[in-house]
Amino acid sequence: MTDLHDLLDSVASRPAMAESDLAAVRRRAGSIRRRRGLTTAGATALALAVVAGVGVALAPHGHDHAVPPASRSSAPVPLPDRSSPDWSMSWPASAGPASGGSAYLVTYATTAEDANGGESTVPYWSAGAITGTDGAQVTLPQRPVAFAEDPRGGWEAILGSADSGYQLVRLSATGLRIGPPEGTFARGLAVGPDGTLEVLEDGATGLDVHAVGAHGDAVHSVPGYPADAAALGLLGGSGAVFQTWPGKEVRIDSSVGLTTVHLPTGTTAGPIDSAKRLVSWQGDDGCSHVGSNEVAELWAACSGRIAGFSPDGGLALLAAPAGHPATLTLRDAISGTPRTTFTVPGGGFFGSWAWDGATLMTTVYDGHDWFLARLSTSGVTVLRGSSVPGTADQPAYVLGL
Amino acid sequence: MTRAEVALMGRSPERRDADFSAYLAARQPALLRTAYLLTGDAHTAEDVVQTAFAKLYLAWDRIQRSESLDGYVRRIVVNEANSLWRRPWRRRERAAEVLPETPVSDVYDDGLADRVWQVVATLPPRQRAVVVLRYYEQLTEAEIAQALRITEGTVKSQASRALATLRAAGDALNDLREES
Repeated sequence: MTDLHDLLDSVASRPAMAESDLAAVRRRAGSIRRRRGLTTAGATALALAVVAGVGVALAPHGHDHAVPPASRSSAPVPLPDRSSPDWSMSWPASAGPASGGSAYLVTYATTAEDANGGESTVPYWSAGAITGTDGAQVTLPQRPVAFAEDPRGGWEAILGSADSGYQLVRLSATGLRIGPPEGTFARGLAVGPDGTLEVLEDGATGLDVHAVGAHGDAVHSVPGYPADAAALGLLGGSGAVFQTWPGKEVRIDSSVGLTTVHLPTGTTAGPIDSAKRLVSWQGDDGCSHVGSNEVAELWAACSGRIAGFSPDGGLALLAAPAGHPATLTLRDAISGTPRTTFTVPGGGFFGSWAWDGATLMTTVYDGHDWFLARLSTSGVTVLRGSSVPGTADQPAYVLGL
Repeated sequence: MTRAEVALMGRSPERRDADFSAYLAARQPALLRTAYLLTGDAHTAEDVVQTAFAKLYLAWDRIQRSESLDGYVRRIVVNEANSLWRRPWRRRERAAEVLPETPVSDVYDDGLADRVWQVVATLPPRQRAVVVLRYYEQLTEAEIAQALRITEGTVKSQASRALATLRAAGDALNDLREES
C-alpha cells in the first residue's frame, strides 16, 4: 500500500523555504493593520437601518495620488466648558476621571504656507467617478450608497435607495459593469479585517454572509439568526457580528467562538470594538455606554452617540448631535478620556467618516461646499482642491469601505 | 493602563513578543510545508505563511486565550491559499527564463510522488485543501470542517472525489492508502 501522507511529505520537504523572523512578521502586521481600517457610517447605516455600524473595511495601499496636497487648518481652540451639557459624562470609579484634550475647528482654509502634503488614503466617489487610493479613476455616474474594492479586481457598489430598492453592482477596473445587478442584496456590504469583501443577505434559515473572492465566494451561514435581529456588521470571513432585537445582547460569532455580551434592558446596541471586544449601547437615559463581557461598563457619555472605534481598538469616536453632527470627538476607548475634538463652525456638519488606521477621513459640509478632511489626535488636515459646491442632502463625496 | 485595560491586554509587550517568537519558531516550518502543498510555489507559500503569522500577531492576545492557536493560523493559511485562486493578478503559471531546479529524489520518490503531486496540483482548491489537511496534516473530519468552514459531510464528499481523481490517474495510484 502506498501511504499518501508520506508521498505528500516528500513533496513538501523538497523546496528550501525562508522562514520569517519576528521583525518581518511585525512589518507585515503593520501593513495589514493599516489596510484594515475603515468604518464608514454611511455604508453600515444601510446595512443596519437600526443602529450605527461596525463595518470594518479595507484601505488599499496608496502611493501616487490624484488628490492635491493638503493644508493644515487653524491651531487648536480652547475646549468647551466641561460643565455644559455637551460635555456631561460619567465614569465608573475604576475608569477614572476625564482629562484634557485639544480641540480644532474644521474649515476649508488653504494657503500656500499651510501646504504640508497629504492625500486621501481612502477611496472616494465624487463627480461621477470612483477615485482609488492609487489615484486611478473608474466612471460611475450614479452616486453609490456604498462601495468597496473587489478582491478580484474592480469594485463592488451598492446603488439605489430605500424607496426604489438596492442593487449590488460589480464594476471592472475600467468601469464596465460585470454581470447583471444583484437585486437580492438586502443587508449590507463590508470588508472584514482580513481584507475579505462580504455581503450580508437574508438566507433561508438565517443570515448568509457571502465572502467575495478572498474566501472562494464562500457562503457562511449564521444559523438561527433571528428574523427580527439587527445586524451590526462583520468580522471578516470568520463570522458575523449581530445583535438580537430588541436589544438584549450582542453576539459576536468569530473564529474564537461565540461571545455574548448582555445589554441592560431597554438599550440598543451600537458599534463594537472588534480589536478589544468592547461593545457600545444607547441607554434609555439618552447616554452612550461602552463596556465588555469582562467589565460591564467602562464609561458613558451623554452627548451624542458612539459612532465607531478605530481599527486598533484604541480610540472611540463620538458624534454630536445625532443626525448631522457638527462635532466629532476622539476618546480613549478604554477610559473614555477625551483626546481631540473637531467642530465644524457656522452650521456645518460632518457628512460621513472612515477610519484609516488611527486617523479618520471625513466629508465635511460648511453650508455651501463639501470638502475632505483628515482628523487625528494630532490635528486636522484639509485636502487642498477638494472643495466642491453642493447641498446638505446631496453630498459631493461618498467614502469607500 | 487602567485595570480594565490590563485585563483585556493580559501581559507586557516584551513577554507577548517572546511568547509569539517561540510559537513562530516552533510552528513555521510545518506550516511552510503545508502552504507549499496548498499553493505549489515556495515563494507564495512563504508569503502566505508570513501573512498568516502577521494576522495571528495582531490577534495574539485574543486567540491565545482561546487555546486554538494552531487551528486559527492553519485556517488563515488555507484561506490565504484559496484566495490566490480567485485573484486574476496572481496567475500560477509564470514565464521563466531558466528551468526550475530538478526535484531531489528521496526514499519514497520512485516517480510516484511526482505523479501524485501532479494530480493534487490540479484538484479544485477545496478538494486540494481537504487532501492536504486530511492526509498530510492528518486532521480529523471535524477539524477540517472547522478549518474550511464547511460541513463534515462536505469534507467526506470532497475527500472521496479527490481520491477518486487520484486513483483514476493511473494504476500505480490505485492502492493509495488513506490512513498513515
